[in-house]
Amino acid sequence: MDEHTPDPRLVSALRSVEAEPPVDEVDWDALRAGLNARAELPLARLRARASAGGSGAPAAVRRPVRGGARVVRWLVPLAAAAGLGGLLLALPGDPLHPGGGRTAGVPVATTGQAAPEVQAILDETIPDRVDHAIDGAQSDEDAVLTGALGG
Amino acid sequence: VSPVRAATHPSVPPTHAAPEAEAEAALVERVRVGDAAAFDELAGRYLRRAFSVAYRLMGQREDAEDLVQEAFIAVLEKIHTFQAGRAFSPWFFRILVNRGINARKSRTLRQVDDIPERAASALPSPEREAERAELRGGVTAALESLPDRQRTIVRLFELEGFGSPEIAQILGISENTVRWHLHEARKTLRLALAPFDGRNTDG
Repeated sequence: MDEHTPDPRLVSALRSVEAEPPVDEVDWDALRAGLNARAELPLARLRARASAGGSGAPAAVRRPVRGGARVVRWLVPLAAAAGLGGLLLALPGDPLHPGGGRTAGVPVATTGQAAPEVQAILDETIPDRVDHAIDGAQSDEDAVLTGALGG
Repeated sequence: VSPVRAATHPSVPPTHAAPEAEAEAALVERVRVGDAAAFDELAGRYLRRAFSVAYRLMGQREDAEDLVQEAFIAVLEKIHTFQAGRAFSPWFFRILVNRGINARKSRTLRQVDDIPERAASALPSPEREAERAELRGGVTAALESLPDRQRTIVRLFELEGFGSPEIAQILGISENTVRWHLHEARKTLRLALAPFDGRNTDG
């Protein structure tokens, strides 16, 4: 009997004392499903590792890129809001109050639509020169600045 | 594993088929990047034989199933160390066998089922039955007297169909060392069988 092939007599003797693997008792589908369930997390780690390695950039380089992406995520809604605000200012009329008679480029305060209480407060707090400058009665920029500085 | 011996383990891919080896290498590469379908396919190829080897090591179905799962999970955790182009089988079984040996040492094994009587078409005579019991006792004692490594080698070689080169890779030892252990184990077992020479104990 050579050492490269099993010895039939030993095989027979060993099989008589060693229980054969109970392959018929195993629920192979359940075993495989359980294995796949346990493998989900390690596989996800491998995918993450592969995708991180796939960028070809070292970690130190990838980090600022991720930071930049985070900034862009904030900038997009801010830019959208600014654009929308600009659009509202540029539109003729008051889109929120269609019957308000607002005209482009004319501040709301000059339309004379303010409530009497508000007008009274404005009269008390704003110097006449500023009021006139805002109204357009006085167009001198120096006068507006002087009024604003309380001069 | 020769094609003839591999035929007794249908789940084992023939190792000499180059296209099959290439397909398996591609499968392993897909597993390396976390492909769940590839892992399922790879596990499916080795599941039955892995269970068989695990059962030889653990002697209990539930322990064997646990060991198989642990070995496959360990594959995923260590796959970055697997060298592309090498055979997956010895690498995988090395993980499984090492874990099995460690588990045997550290875990309190559940009660091993009694070894079932071999099925016989005709009831053996009381004398024949007594003789077989005596044989089993002698072989069991001889097997238990073997060092762990020899016992593992003889089980892998005689019962699971692994060749010496594969066992060497699995256990991380030289082929000569495998052959020496196998020689020693066989000597011990044959000595235990000697009293039964010439008797028919197959029942």
